[in-house]
Amino acid sequence: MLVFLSLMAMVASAFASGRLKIAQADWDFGIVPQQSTISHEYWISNVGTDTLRNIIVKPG
Amino acid sequence: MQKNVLAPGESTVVELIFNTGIYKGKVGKSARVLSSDSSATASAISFSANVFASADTAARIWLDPERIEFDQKTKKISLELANRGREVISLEPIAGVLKELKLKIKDHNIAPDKTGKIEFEWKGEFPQNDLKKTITFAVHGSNIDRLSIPVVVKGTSPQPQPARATSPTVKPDGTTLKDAIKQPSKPPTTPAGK
Repeated sequence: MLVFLSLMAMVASAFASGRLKIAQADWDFGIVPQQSTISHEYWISNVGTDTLRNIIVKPG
Repeated sequence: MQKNVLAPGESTVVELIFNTGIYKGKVGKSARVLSSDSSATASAISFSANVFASADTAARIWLDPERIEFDQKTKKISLELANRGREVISLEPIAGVLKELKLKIKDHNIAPDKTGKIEFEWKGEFPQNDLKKTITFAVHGSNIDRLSIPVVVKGTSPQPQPARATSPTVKPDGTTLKDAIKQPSKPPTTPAGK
């Protein structure tokens, strides 16, 4: 019984994972002036059942 | 980005910043988002914009000023928006409005060849460093769907001045550092027998 429960826990942890979700991944500023700094904030969420790690953002 | 590790249910914010410089026309940039989520290998964030030049006489919307800049002496700015199109337009803020910023659209519907006003007022404290944000408006009634206005809140810290070349130092006896360098230095003398 104990072995069975341990096995079930291992299987459950193997399936648990962090899942990345980005709300509104694309943003349209519309018309903007020259010589200006424009910025937008994107919300990134973990909708999974485990910790989401090593989140990095790379240009391009 | 504020955090690079998220517990289940947690969120964080990533800010993409872009300087329009002398760009003109449509521009788009993107960034990849990587994480331990192996199923999200193609995640990306992106933006698009249509950069207009001040002297563009064909523009359907003119703004004056084109950007809002608050400092401790200027906390209230009135922006004029001229409708150079053929339809009545109205503006609605949809993103970027800070809680310290009071926005008042004085003219909700702007007829063709008419000008409307939007008042911006900074009600909050001034930050230490410059704060740069962008307010995006939906434009109803026009084929220009959106327009974005950059907002800068000048910080209270003095900005570091660029390093400048200094002139030769003048000593009290009138000699300059340049003159001092020309004098040959005398070697130290050691006492005899030691």
